Amino acid sequence: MSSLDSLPRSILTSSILSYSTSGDLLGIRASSKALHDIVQDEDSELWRLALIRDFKFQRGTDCLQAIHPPPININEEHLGSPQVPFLRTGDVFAARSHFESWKNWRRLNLAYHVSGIKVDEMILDCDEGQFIVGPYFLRAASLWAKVEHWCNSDASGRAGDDILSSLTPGRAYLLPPTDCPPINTAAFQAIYSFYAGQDEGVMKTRSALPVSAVAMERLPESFNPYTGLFGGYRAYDIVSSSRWLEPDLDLLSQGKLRVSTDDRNLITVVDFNDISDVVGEAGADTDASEPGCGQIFFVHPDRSSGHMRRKIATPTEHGVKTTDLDGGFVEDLNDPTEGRDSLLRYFEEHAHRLHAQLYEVGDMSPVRGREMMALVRWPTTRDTLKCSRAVTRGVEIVASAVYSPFMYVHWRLYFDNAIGLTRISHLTPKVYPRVEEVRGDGIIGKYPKLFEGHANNYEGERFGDLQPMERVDGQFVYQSCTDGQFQGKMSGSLQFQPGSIIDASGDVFDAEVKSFPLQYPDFYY
Amino acid sequence: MLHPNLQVSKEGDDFPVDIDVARMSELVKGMLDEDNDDDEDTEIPLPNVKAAVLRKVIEFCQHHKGEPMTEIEKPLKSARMGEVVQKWYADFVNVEQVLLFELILAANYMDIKPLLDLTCATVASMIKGKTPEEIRKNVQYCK
Repeated sequence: MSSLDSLPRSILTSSILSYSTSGDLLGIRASSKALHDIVQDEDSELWRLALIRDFKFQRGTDCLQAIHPPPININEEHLGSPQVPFLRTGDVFAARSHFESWKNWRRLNLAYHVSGIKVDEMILDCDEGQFIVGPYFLRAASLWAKVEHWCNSDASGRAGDDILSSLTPGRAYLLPPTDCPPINTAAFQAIYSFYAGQDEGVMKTRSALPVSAVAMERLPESFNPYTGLFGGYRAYDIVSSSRWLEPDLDLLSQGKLRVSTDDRNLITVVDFNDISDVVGEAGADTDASEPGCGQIFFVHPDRSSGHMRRKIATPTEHGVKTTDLDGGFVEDLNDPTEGRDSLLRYFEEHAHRLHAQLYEVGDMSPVRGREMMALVRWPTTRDTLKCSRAVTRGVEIVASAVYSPFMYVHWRLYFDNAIGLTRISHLTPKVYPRVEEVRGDGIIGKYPKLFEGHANNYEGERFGDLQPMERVDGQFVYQSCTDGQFQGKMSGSLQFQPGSIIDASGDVFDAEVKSFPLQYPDFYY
Repeated sequence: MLHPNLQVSKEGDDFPVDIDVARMSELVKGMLDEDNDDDEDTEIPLPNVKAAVLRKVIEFCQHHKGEPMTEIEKPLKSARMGEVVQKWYADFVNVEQVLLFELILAANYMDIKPLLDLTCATVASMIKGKTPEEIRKNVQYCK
């Protein structure tokens, strides 16, 4: 007897077929009833190995998770944004056999490579080097599900709705042929299959955002330029707003990426091309020398290594200048894909923070009386690592810091003003580990640095129109910044006068500011 | 040490082999280790292996001592064994399918990994790139 099925089955499946490709397996499966049954029976051995080999599933993990592939979409036109996303988070399902899982991944792989291609260019099957990375797509589905859940939840309110509706449908990005190994852009492909950036929204306006109440009144109620997916924060009249921009396919195919900047906004762009070709268009009255104005922050996978690089692009009169930023990504050296999933981890970290409500939504409007709800990146008390909380005699002080790309660490103290206290700004912060003690009077102002004896009475735009003796209820925020040299912790106290300075109703007391970290973050948004 | 050992096949034929060649078979190695008699010629009965097959197995093991076989990559890069392994080995497996399958069974029984890898890879190479029809005709003689 010399037929294949006469051999001991273990030899057939473990030894012989371990040298075969999935295509060969399909051939064997179809060649005779006996072989068909063997292949079917050995599902977990053979097809699981096929999933590991073809779609880079890891040994020992669940390979039964698959995604329903979209119908193969053959367009006459191959440009233009789709109306329907390529993949939806709800498309993930559990297959009943490894073969079923493999079939779905294969169809998804084909759909990915075929979508949007003209009929005469259609390919019938993919080369081995063109297989998508299954686990990346599953991870992307999971993180987007978290984002969607958060956007739809009550916790995110109006801001969540605005963010979700601004997300453009995902698509199958066929990247231009380069010498970049496909594995380096696999994470990008997975993420952008579900959503492909946010629409431009109000970013179309290129003039400076109006900051006066008068100008604000002229704008429609719904005007809100701060609906960036990655949120932002305020530091007086400077706003950091991180919006996830859609790649421009035309320029992408030429190896360029156009970004438009809006004055005083930081924009996060995820880009995989060589950004020495960035073409930037700055706002009309951008002052490129002032930090925070018209600069563009990129997250950019390095083509040769796949690692993430962070850069800043600054429009200058000579064109756009790009600078590398250090740190801000956690690279996992034990990662079998050698860090090429760092873009995925970047998005996953943000999705986790939303899901765990480590951030809150809040009003980013530069003027009082006009609400612009956005995702605020100041850590909340749920983030016990980055945020501290202390209560002294009924005064609760919540303290945290965010890191800005311009090497400042903005920190703020956030406390309730509704209990009839006037704050005297005696702040005695201690910054570790250099143990720097600074005492000062009236340190409220535009980026004040903490120096001994320094005083500044400028109160910032928000309360600039306060009348003398006018009480403002609600939470009071006191902010400042340090330069990048301060790495460590800050703690201290704030002095309070019950009643008012003129009409005191009690003794002055110090309220504790518990220690909170000032440091470069693991992930930088 | 080069004590000749006798390997005895199914039909009762004797095949003298050097001990280090014989020990390529995990099965034989196990038998030798059990039997602590190093001085005499040891007889290893192999009733499951025909003479013609055992002859080939010994030929493989003897050559392997001088030229170890390269590791065959998975999955196979080519359907031609000459492109996948050294020439001698490619020629070695260029035999009738019946003998090839017997070699697989012998390599499995005698637990000789390189031989099992080579013979199994060869079968895989016969399947590679073929249509189901071709597979049925050439490799699978059943319905």
